[in-house]
Amino acid sequence: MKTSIFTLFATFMLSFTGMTQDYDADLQSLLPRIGSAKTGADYALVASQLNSLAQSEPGRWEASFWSAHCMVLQAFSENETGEVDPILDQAEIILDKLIASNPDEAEFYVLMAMLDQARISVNPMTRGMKYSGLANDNINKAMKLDPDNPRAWYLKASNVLYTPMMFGGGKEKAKPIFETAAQKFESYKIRSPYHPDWGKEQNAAKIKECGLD
Amino acid sequence: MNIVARMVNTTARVVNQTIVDVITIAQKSQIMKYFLTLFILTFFASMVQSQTHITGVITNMKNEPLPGANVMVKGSIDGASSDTLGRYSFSTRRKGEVILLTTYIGFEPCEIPVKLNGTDLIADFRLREQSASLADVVITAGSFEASDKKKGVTLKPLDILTTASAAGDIYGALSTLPGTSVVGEDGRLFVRGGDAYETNTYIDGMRVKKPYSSTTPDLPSRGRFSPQLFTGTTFSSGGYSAQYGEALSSALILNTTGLADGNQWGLGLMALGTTVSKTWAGDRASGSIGAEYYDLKLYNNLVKQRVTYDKDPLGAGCNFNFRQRTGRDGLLRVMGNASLSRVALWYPDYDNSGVQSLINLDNDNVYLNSLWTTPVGNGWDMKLGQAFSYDNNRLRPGERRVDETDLFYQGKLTFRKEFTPKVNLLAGADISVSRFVQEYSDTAVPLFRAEISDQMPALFAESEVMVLRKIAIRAGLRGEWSPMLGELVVNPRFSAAWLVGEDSQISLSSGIFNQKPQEQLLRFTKDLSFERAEHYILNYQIQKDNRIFRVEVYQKNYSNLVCYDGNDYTNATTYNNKGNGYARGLEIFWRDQQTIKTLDYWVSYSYIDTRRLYRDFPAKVRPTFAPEHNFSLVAKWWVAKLNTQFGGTLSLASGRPYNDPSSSGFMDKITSNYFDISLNASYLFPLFGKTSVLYLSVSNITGQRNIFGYRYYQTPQGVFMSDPVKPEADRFFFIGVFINFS
Repeated sequence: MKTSIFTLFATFMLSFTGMTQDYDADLQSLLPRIGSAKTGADYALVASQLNSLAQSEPGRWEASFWSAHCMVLQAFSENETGEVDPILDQAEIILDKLIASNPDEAEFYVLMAMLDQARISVNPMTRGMKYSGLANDNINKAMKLDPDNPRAWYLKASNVLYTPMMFGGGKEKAKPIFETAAQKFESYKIRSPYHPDWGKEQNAAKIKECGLD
Repeated sequence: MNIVARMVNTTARVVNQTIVDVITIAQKSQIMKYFLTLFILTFFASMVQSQTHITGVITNMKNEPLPGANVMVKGSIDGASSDTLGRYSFSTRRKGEVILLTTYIGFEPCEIPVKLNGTDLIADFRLREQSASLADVVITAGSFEASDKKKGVTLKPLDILTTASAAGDIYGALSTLPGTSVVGEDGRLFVRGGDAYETNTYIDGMRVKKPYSSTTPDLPSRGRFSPQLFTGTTFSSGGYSAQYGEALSSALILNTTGLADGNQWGLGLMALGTTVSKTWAGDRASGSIGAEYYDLKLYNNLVKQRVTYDKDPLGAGCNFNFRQRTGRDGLLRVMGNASLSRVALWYPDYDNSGVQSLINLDNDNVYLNSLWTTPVGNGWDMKLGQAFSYDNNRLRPGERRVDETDLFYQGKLTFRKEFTPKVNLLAGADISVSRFVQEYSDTAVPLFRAEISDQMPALFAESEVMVLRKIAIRAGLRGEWSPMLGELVVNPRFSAAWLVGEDSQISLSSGIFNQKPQEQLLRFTKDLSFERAEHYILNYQIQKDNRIFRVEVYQKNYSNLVCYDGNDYTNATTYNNKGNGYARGLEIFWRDQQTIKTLDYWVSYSYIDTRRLYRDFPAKVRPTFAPEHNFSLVAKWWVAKLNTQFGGTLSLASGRPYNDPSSSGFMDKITSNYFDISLNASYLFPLFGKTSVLYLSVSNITGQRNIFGYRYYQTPQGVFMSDPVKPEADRFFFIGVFINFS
């Protein structure tokens, strides 16, 4: 009986907290949805939910950051190249504000580097050189602030992997960097539950892609 | 996982206190417990009922469904996205007055206030397309903008370097764009029936007085500046901004690069010569120095030339580039360039047939440019630019001597503010100080000296405004005062762009353009006026993904062109401003980088109808530099397996008018058509961790015997003989390797 009352109360309280704004609870309910999003529309919805949440507490960075993150993922999932830039433009506005409010957060630069990489997909031939350069700048900024950030290492390695061999890229050059990233993933301590924690599996997959010794 | 754990914790913490209270009460009595359960169940049931279910359809203004739009209860995370039919539905536990907010990329957000009380709600949204801001609009009439920005990209610095027919020359690459004519023996840009002097080059906003290398008649000149110095080029074949003056026909606007991004050495080894450069880069400053040397002796020995050189063309130069950030958003750029060239060749002496005379040409040139851009508060940006050039040309045709010194300084101060994304204003002033000295002497004539100096101030203002939702206009005014001519000119300029579709626009440009008479014309009299042109341009452009199509028509009216009597050109009284003319035409451009991922190609076609009376023309005719039809096809194909880009350019032009003095008409003869296929290949390879390039190119692969025109001379018997003007050699070969290392 006790447990059933507890359950009822828990449900009741949950529904109650749904009525008033609880930034943390809302954020916690939205974050798993980023992982389960499949289509561009899924990402767009979570991004606007996060954005809506961000506006309820302008002083906090988490919802803004994750909505920009979500938009970048949405851009990566778009097939229509014409859709990519408008999405990234929105994400960039959010991210610029975040960086202005806290220029010392490495994760902001990591995300900016991802955004740069997403821009390349529109036209790799004409954009490759410029945006991989910009991505590199942002990765370097992130590494300066947080030298052990595994995602910065992962993006750096990806940048190398997708750079044509004659421009100093390719699998051979990328692999050792992915391996460094793998070590960093093992030892990295996440700074808060809201900080990004992705990349370990992707990194492992990339090491495989680069081939075994 | 972290997140879920924390979620449970938080919830538990909130609930715990209440539970303790309730459980204590519950233990007191079974009845109490019974009622309590009942109460909770009822309450919970009512809670479920009190959720409001909201449904609706999201469409655009034409009532077409918008799939993937988002609807939210503003300030909460309750919401949904629309399905393929634009329908959405979701539930919320919120109560009372709230705002439903719908967002969709490319559309303006839409809000509807509703009252939530548990009753099902239907809320339909009609979204209005976002109105464009000035940043979305590039006025394309008359202008080929080629920056790294997203919109209006047509030709980038890298495109110039890899255009087969250009041989690394900016002007060579631009002559594959519509509006230009191939004038092979000259090498300069001829735009829309205009003479070469009517096109001016601007670096960071300042006019470049001597943008081309110095050369003898019938040998083409090249641009003095490497395309690698610039991030953006805007080639305007008419209707350009009030910021730019002193160009009747066309403006080539070059913007230099910002901070360099890495330390490196560069080394170029060519059949023609050598270049070397060193770049340093820091966080807030960067710099580079470079030197070049070329000597065509070896090349001319290998590839037979039509002209006979006494001294093969030789040149040397050095350059520097410096960038420094100032404050948070300011940047100071300084660049400089000093070069010399020497050549001597035998040239047929038309006054004495069968005799060749020696022409010797020495040229020294110095160019300095600086630009400081910085915000000055209140949303205003300031640009302070200064440019200085010195050019000394010493020509020795036979016993004659022609020495020219050209000094030019321009200072320019511009302020710009963006008041809203839909309104901006630019205003500024510049001053051009020029001094030209020519000394002429030969065995018969004592020294003739002409000196032309002017300090010309100018004021300009221009505003861009979005009017209505889809129309941008740009209106400007430029005033110039020449103390030398004693004349003030005021140039209104007006452009507009109408975004007719998502990817297409119609734009128009018009304006009045003035230019001072060339120094060669001012040598004998300064009693002349500004030359004048009016431009009217209409353009349609559609750009989707990486394809662009544009078509343009224009009318250009010339007046006040300088005329004189060619047989008595030293006589000041024969000079007047009675020349006039017109040019009108149709131009088509298509570029596709999409259909085949590794292939990039563009096609240009220009038709031009033009007549002009100017200089020593006895009649109003089509000038020799304006063939009726011009066509070019440029293709670049990247073969990843070979790490090589192959390129080709096909150029076709109808024949050019020339004057045969033995016929009664003036300029009534036409040369044969022009035809050229040039090919190139760039092989990229890694060396010392950087990318190096092996570059090969060859022009006129088919060996077409192109003739640019004819020179006529009279035999002692009074018979006119012709001598065709041909390229220096049938083919031009280029081979070079460019190495970068840290």
